[in-house]
Amino acid sequence: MKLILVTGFLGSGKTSFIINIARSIVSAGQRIAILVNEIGEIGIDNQLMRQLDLDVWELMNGCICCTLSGDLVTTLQKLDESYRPDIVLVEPSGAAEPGNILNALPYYQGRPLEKIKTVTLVDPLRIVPLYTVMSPLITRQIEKADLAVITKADQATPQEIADACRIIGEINPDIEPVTLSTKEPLDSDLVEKVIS
Amino acid sequence: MSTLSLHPLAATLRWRLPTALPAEAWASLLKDYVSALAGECQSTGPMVIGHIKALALLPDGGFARASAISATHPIDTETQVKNNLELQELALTVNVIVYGLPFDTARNIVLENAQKLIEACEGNLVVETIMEEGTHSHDHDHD
Repeated sequence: MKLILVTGFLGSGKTSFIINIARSIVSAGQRIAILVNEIGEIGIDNQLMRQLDLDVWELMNGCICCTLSGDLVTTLQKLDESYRPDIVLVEPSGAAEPGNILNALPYYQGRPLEKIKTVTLVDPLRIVPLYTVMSPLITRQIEKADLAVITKADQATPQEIADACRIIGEINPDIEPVTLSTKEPLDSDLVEKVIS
Repeated sequence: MSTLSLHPLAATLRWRLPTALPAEAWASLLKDYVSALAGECQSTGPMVIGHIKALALLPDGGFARASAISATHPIDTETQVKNNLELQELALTVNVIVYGLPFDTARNIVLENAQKLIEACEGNLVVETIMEEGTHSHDHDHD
């Protein structure tokens, strides 16, 4: 079972990204489960995904980077036992810090996780002001990433994209960001980068 | 480092009209609503809009959604409607996730704007639930 954690600040495009990735994976014949931890009591993202016929499990009443980290592990184990997905996509809230989520995973006792990948989405429209006022959270999301995706590339100016690349490079020089227009179909190369 | 606290708001509301509207018209109202929320949140003072979003699931299996990341960026919308659906009532879920915005202020903004918009169409608002997730802070010590 592969685990893909999709992080990124609130409004960066995580839900749209997950929906598109999930559809690609399903069309390739693989079994996928989506775990969503939303910050509001009445989640919107999970409702949308279910309306689009995706299999979604919710982690509620807390945050999976702190109060619900145990629930994340338990839910992964239950998924492994009862649903046997090939890939699990995890969408934490945009306020969650990925380091703590990753720290909980060694407690998982289901089938070995053949891959744990952290993909962070970066919103080029806001990264500069967010990096100024929310620097610890933004930094932790990017530094834990194996892959950075700059979303909304169709809406951003070249300068905004350049600034996003620069900030990503400052925080995590080991990764090469890719750009994505959320309104266009996902490139098969990007899908491969995410799930491989 | 930001010291703005986070008090996310979630609400389920229902808009009712005396006559049915095409689903696309409801979607437009939803977009106007989210735009109004973003504008008013932004005018409250020091704050950071995380995400303001609204979703209406339609009885035909479709949906209308609208979301804002600021008062100045275009509202992101998506609508999927089947079969020329017309509705006299729309049930919507709203999330307001704004750093630095007290819950009571968020609640007032959500309810007043929902009321104002539907009354302009000679309709009425029903508030089903309105909830606070609780103070959200991630002052963790990290590795």
